Amino acid sequence: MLRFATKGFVCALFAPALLLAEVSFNRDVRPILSSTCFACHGPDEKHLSGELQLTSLERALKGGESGEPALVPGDARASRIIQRALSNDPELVMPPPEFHTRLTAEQKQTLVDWVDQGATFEKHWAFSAPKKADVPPVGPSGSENPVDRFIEARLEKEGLQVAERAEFPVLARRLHLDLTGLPPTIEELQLALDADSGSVGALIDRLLASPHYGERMAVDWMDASRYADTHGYSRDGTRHVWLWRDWVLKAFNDNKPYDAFITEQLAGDLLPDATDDQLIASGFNRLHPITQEGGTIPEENLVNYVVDRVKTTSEAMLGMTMACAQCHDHKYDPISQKEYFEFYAFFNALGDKGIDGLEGRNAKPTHTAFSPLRDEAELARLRKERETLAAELNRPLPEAQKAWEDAIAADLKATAEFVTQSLKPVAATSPGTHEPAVFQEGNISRLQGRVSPMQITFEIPVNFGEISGVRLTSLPSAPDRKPCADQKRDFAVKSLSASFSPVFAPSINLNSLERFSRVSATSTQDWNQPPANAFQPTQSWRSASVAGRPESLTGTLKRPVNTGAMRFLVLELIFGNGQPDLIQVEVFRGKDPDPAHPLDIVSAVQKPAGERTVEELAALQDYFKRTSHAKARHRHALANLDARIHFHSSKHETMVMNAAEKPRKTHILNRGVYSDKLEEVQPGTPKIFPPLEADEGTTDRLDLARWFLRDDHPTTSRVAVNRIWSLFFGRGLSESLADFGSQGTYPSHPELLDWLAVDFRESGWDTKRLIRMIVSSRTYQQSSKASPGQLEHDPKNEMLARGPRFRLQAEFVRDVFLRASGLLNPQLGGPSVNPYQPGDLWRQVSHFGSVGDAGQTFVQDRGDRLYRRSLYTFWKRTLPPPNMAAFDAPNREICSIGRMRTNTPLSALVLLNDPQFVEASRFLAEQVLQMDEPPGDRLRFVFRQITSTEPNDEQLQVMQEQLDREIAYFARHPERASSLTTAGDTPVGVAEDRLLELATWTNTVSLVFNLSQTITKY
Amino acid sequence: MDVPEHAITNPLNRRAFLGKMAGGLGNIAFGSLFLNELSQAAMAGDASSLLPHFRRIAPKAKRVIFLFQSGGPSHVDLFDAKPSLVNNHGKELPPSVRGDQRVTGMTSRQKSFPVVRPIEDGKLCGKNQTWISNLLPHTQTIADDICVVRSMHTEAINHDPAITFINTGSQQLGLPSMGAWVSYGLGSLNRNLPTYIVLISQGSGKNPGQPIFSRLWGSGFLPSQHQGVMLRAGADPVLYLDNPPGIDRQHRRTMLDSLESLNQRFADELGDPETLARIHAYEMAYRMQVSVPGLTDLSGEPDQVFQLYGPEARRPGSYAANCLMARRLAERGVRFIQLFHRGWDQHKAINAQLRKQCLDTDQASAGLVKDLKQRGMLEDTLVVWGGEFGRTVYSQGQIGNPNAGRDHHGRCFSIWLAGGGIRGGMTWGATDDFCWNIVKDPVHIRDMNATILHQLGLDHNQFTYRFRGLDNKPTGVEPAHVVKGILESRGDRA
Repeated sequence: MLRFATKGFVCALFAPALLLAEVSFNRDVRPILSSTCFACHGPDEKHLSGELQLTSLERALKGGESGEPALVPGDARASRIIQRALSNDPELVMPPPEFHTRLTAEQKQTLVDWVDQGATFEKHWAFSAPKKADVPPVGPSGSENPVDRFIEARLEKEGLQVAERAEFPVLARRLHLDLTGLPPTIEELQLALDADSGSVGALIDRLLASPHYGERMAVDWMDASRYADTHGYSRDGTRHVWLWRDWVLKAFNDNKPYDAFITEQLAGDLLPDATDDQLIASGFNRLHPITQEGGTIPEENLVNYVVDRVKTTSEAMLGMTMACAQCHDHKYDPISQKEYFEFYAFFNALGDKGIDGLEGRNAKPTHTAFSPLRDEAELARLRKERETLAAELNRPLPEAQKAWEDAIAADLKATAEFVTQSLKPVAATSPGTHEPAVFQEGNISRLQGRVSPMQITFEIPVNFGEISGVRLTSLPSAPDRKPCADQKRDFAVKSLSASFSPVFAPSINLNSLERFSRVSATSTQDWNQPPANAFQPTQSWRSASVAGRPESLTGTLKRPVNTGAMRFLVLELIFGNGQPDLIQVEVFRGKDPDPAHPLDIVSAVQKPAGERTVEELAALQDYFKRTSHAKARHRHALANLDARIHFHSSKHETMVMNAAEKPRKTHILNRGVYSDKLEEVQPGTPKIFPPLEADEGTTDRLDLARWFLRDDHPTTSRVAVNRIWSLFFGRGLSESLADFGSQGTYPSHPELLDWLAVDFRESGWDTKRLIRMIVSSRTYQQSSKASPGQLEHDPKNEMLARGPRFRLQAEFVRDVFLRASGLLNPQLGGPSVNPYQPGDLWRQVSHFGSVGDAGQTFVQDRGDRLYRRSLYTFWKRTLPPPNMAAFDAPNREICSIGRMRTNTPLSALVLLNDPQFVEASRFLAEQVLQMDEPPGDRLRFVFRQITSTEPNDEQLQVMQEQLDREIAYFARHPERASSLTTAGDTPVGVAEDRLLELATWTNTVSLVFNLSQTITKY
Repeated sequence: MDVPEHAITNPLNRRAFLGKMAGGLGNIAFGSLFLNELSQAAMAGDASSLLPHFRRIAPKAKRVIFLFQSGGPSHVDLFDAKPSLVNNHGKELPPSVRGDQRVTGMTSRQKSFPVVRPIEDGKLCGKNQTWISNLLPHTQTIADDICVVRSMHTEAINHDPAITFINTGSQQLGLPSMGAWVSYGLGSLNRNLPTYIVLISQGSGKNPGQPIFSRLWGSGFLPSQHQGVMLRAGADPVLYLDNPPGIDRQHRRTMLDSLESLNQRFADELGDPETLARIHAYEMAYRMQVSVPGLTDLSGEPDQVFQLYGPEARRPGSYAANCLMARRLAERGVRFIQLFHRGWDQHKAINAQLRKQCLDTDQASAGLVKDLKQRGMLEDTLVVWGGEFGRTVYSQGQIGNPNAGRDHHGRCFSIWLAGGGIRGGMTWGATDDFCWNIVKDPVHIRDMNATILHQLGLDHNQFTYRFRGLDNKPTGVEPAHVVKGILESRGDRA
């Protein structure tokens, strides 16, 4: 327990004020009043304690219920608030003990000094419009850049100096990472040296013009705007709002002035003759989570949505947290509950619904348009590319096709034993009905009620031996049975999953689902040929057997299962379009005799090649193209290309704002509760800010946007420049990126923040100009080396006597690997993609099977979609990409500004073991293998390619020693080389006899990728 | 689990770190290994002055095992039955009792609200004669070890807001989970495993059950090293744990040694404590590669242990196996262990579904308590069993129909606690004749959270984290009260 009010200490507090530094109200006093006094004596008029309000000198002099002034300017000793603050009487001391907050000795001293120095109150710094102070004279560095002049003036005051400029390769890497989120390649570094003759200015211009600049800038705005590809909340189904992301990207690349940037996002739909792009932009305030949970109360949900819009808009654009005022007048900032709901009213006038977005659809209102990034030139190029690729896919591969046909024929001919064993069902469950199945004689289950999804457990006889596969058979209904409504003649098995268990298991084990190598189906109709992967959740198999004859779907296990170890089989069945009446499940050993291919293919491959008809030859070639492993790469490439063409050539739907014909009325909600309505309010802005000027008629979001952009608006430009500054320095000039209220942090360089804020507005809200000014500064370009003294005195680098240094954010960590390895697919914009994820994590938490919403089960992409930049990775709110979550990526359920930067074992495991990252190492290693240079030069290449710097002798030696250890290791275990090098989807590009070499280099490259400097901007 | 920004391998940084600790405690993330090293170092001198002000309650529990029953278990059927329910079976729930309680969109259009008696009888158990349903025969046997709180309540009536409320202290999105708060406040007790671990199982009564979300074990605005780490029953229990195929542990060591020497150089050259922290993170990752497989290998557990938890404990990923895993995690110093068992949402077919949910969980939950007790660990392990709300006494759907069930009910529900300084063999609070309203000693979920924190030695009123200008408390802005009446007093244990 801290007790400072000893006699001696109190005396020390009243030392002569002359000796003390001047106290600034805004910098020193307001934070203390705000965090310790305002809860009871602050702006919240309705809940004042003892009628005392300490928000102005006038109110403090008026005092509280005692009628005596709370303070005497110039005389701390005689001031009641000081007496109470210093008292050690628990009855008198302020704040009172039950308030659980204490003043520190330092804070008490500050209050005493402040009163002794006259107790001046100032308006909160962030509520006065910023003004340009005179730019200080040019400092010792000689730089005329205003940023440097402000920073150096402060450094001089603190007795510090600007550090030396970072070495060119380090600086070039810093600029590449900061302006594009990608590291420079060796060629780019060379280009910077040659073409720009090492001129940093030219490099900055080139990078600002790069299309990757927009991608880099978009990521942070996506955090602030809580962008995601799912609706969030419990069902968390898919939505399609990536057009908005495309719009943001383009806005940055086109250097859209910030005033238009926020106007179009706040009110693009209300602009006269709104363009498609402006409508897309208005989606900003539709990106909040939207629930599909049955049973929720729409009116309550709608309140949540509007509350989110207020929160996001106020944090991202206004730099204020208004959320407190939803339930009561703000305790710290002068925002009343009424003002909160006036602000809320702007966002409560659209025609959205409380429950919407079911089954993977967007929630209304929506708009359909071309992507802002639609690119005719790329489209033309893609169409050309498509011709080549299609030709490549169609190109006959006689040898490969022959081998493939032979394999099918051999499979058909193979006459291994086939022994089936029908299994006894022992338990069945389905969430929708109490008894989904009745077990009949002959191990037959009669399904009843609507059973999809259904889990059914079977017992396996002990002595059956090794199980090769599983067969599901639907049987004809008994003649006397009339199929019920759910039991149509046709039905589809939309998904069939299987797991084995050594003990009775009532549900399927999602952590060890069986995989199948071969699937066959009997069929009476040609449209229900089994797809090669019918057992995957996105494929389905249709049957027509309810009243016909038995039909089976048979899967051969990738790895046979031993009956001795596994006594139970659990199947999860998801039916679509009806369901069967009677089913029976068998396991088998030996080989499934049913063909795993359509009947025409089966008959064709069995004929000698010379006797096949033209139709058969065509069918074979077509089937080869569609299903063979030999053609898989081209197939995926073509599918991806077609998707990309579709992106450019078609219109797409996105969620937007609109104005409802009959807008909802806005009421103050008592304690924020949706159903407890008080007086009605009209749209308005808090009085602490300059007034809102509305056109005749209704006040709407367009008026609000104009209000944000008033010349005398105190926060709009400050918030923007502060956030942009933080992208480059790792922290803002005020650390509170989203909270400029009285609880926010006082800026380290208030004059610079204000100067930049005014200059930004005066420049026509020119973002690139602002960024150029920042990154051109000597301050930014300093070396980031820190001396022990600096670490001790200024660990956070507030004074900026050294350059910025911090770990890259999640997206850019992955992007560094993709770019440096050469795997990166540089396409801009478009729908989100699904790169590698371990297992099916989504299904562990989702409603898969129970609801039709998309995004309940994870399906990985193939081909070049695995290597898109990370901002395009599909963002599922309830389970964001785990390899980015390990690097502090937020879940995007709410507005999030400024990320943390932690170092955890989980992030180390990602870089070491995630196939995405192992594949990158292997891919770069393949390039090393193309080189003729000696190992030393190859190591140098790897190091430069990844870190942009030249290794020194010591580093080279460590790498060389590791390489030697790799060589020795794989020489001892040659068989392990192929295991390591098969990570990822991209085929190995070197000959078999060089796999050993490839493995040794893969691990050596991985060492360099895992270096701290690889993922640090320094 | 976590490595703070200022690693302490470098003596200079160790000094700077300690200096910071003594100076402004509020800004340091406490959930760190280093705090423990620090406390050990401080033991020699004045230890208590280094403990933050929110940790000055003497802790009764070192760790929590939260057996979260996701979906809303029926308190009416399991813990809170009374003769009046049998007497009123089939009769309309009196409007005077129903009051202004809002109901979900699933039954709000129902014309009648008939009372349904518990689907199964129960027994008065233990010295306190606590009524527990016969659906939970094993729980009946631990009646003297548990405290059944029958007066829990929440404002939320739908899953997402309710489950978010109980796990994060607020219905709003974006706040840290209780486990993350505890990790932040108390730090780790071990060097090889995360501080907060989450295990998920699927219920067999209703499968799939209501979805769950990573926010329930997320870190919200706290540093992300405090988020729960999912432990899966499979080849890679922690994501990305295994080395790539072809790389063995010994060989990985050589690579990490090279990495460390290169990173150390970089750190020295630039004066970069963050890189030192990263070296630590890699070392812990390496240790986890051994500690996790050791943890998940149950082959050393004797048969009687499996008998205690039930046959399901042999099935990886089941609730029972997760309960056994929870004990193993507790033994290894994991602070906060949370199971999520899905499928307790019995809108339909409650008669069939609830039995299965109970079969999934009853023996293992009781087995865990017994096992901890046998090992002397129950004293400092707080076990909590409960869901996000209860269920209506009235029937959802036509009474008597086997497909009928019960809707959500937040106005009262039951949970139980054991160990960690909670008095066993008691009940707390009471509901009315219809299990609808609380008539005695209401416990809001934030009171329960305050109580859990209190047992860990954390004062929920003092325990804050500043974010967006607000000193956030794990129990939110509304006042919360420790439920003193369920705490063990000194004389309780002879």
